[in-house]
Amino acid sequence: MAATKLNVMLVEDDDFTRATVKSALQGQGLNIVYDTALVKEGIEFAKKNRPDVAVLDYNLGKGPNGIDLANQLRKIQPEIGIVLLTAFLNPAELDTKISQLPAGSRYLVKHSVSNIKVLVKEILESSKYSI
Amino acid sequence: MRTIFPSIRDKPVFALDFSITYVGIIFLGLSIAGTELFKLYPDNKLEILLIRVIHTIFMFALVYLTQSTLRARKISTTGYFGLAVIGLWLAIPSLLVRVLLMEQFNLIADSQVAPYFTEQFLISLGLAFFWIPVAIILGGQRSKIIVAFKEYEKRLVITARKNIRNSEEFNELKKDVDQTFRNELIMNASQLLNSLTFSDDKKLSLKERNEIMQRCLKGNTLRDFSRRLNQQSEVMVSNSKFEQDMRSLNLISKQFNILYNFTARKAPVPARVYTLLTFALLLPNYINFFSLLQVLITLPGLLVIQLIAIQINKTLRHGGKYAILQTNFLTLLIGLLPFIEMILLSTLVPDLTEKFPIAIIAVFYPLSFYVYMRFIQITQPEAINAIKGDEIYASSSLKEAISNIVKDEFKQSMSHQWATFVHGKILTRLAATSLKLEQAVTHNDNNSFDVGLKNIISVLSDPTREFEQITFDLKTEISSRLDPWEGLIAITIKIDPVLADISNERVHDLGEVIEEIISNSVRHGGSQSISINITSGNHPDIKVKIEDDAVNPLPLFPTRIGLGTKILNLVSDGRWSISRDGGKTTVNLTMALLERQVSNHGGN
Repeated sequence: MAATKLNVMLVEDDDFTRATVKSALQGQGLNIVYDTALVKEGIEFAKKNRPDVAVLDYNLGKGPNGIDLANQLRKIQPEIGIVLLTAFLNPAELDTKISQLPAGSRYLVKHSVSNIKVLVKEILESSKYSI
Repeated sequence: MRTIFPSIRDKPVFALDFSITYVGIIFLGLSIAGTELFKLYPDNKLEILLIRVIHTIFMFALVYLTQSTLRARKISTTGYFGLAVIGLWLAIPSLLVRVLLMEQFNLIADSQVAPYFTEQFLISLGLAFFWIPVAIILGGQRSKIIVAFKEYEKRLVITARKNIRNSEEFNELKKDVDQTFRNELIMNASQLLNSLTFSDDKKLSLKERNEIMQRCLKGNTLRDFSRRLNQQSEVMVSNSKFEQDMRSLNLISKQFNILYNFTARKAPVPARVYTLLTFALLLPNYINFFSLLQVLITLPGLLVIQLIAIQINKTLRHGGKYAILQTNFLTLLIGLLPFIEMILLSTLVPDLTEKFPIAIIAVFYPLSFYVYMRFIQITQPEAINAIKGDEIYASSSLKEAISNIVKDEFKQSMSHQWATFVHGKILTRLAATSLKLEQAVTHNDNNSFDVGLKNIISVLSDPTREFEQITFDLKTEISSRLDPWEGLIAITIKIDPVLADISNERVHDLGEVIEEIISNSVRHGGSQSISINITSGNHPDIKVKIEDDAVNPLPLFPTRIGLGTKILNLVSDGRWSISRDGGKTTVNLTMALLERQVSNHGGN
């Protein structure tokens, strides 16, 4: 699937980061159909609009984290592509309590987000996930 | 007062607990081995040791078989008569095997078997009618003491936790820990900030400036700092049944002196117990080595023991600052009397004096006697009553042990909060800015580049600025914890109206508890719904009851202690439990929400 045809949803609680990532992805021709800081809004959007890919920050402040949200999105929409953003090399380093990443999910270390093409590649790869 | 050994006329019933019998077998084996190695068969050490090992294994097997048979027949209690029968049942085979082994290892000749058997038979009667019943009775008492002590330990720990949590020392520690994390973050941020100044050179091209920036951002130490904090917060402590028992034992040992001092003053062991114990300990020696005349010569020693024991009793009942010290001294003196008697008699009637190795009679025996008496003292029923009635205060070493646990829990909890903050607010911003800078370079946009640089400088100049501000208001705190979960799990909450307007810093701790339980319920339990009920308890406590429909419920007795358990312990002072009923898992927690706080959280 071409990048421009992908509908991408972005959930990131930090306004500056969200705006920056959104702008970078749009710059690469991706269609950011929705961006939000709130988990519940992300879930509502996914239920109604079924985006191709969800780009989620791991750390979403108080409450659920990106993996909790990813698991829920996979329940709502089993074929959704998921890319998890983290500042660590391996999300498992973040928290031994974290649930397993949903099958087919990909994670991206945030400092390689500097190369936005890596992120786009991950998004494209994740969109190929099929159940 | 009920005694540990009630009168036979009262027809008492005792629990059949063999746990101390096993220990007794080892002690008996060591004691016999000592006498045989040093006095009777000093030239046959290897044979003696082999005999002792085989005999001990046989006795363990026999006790285990007896215990299993009684259990299978559902016989769990008996009276004095039953104890005597069990005593004979264990002591006679023990004697037979011992004689057989002595003969097999050629330590007694065939002609000596009969007299040896007769001599040892008298000792076996002492074993059957005294030592084995005593071990079983103490075993039953031990179970009661351990059950009572576990409850006591729990209450003691709760009280100690609460006192420590509210202490000035702990508040200082909170400030120190918080300040340490802040300082470290500021230091790492400053380092990065300094290195970034090289990129603020307008003479360089945008691409060159970006290369410097990216190098600094990728190699920054903040990521290591965040990872280190995270690792600290994820330390798990093993919590197997064995380790729990060892911790209890450790606490009991720390509390032993206070327990002993209390019961010794309140209900001292009767004087006759000192005399009886001495007689029981010396009986095998009387039988083995003493003629009737020698026994008669030493018997006045028992009278002296009785008189000293009466003095001990008086001293303890009278009380006073040095009562326990005097008791300890006099108890050791009683233990040393056989040695003193041996010295005196070897001067007065050397031909009628039986000599024993100094190591046994002057060291091993008195110390054993001292330990036995202390053990008997704390197994008195009065000790259990005192424990149940919370009459015994926590020792300073126990307080210190608990204080260390509380401090460790706090540090780990703070590590978690800071790790989340550094990762979520600092590293994320830096990564996003890094992305923004790359975009600026791609578009050759100097302005955007400077905006990105300014943003980084702003984050790094005051990195702790956005660290969590504590919510004091109950409603706000609860809603800030529950709202983010909307869509993931159905949450119903009920708060006692009396509590609705609460506003203090402990509200934040309640929020941590709720967050911890919900996240566990979702991540591990796979719950779809959860209900939270907060009611008021005895001032200053509140009760929190959380029920979920977890398909993978938490273990009732976790085998590892992680951050979640530590947060619950820290907030509730250990007053929480998990129960399960059908498909429903319930966490009950009590915490002092309404207590007055000494200082602000974390030094903010």
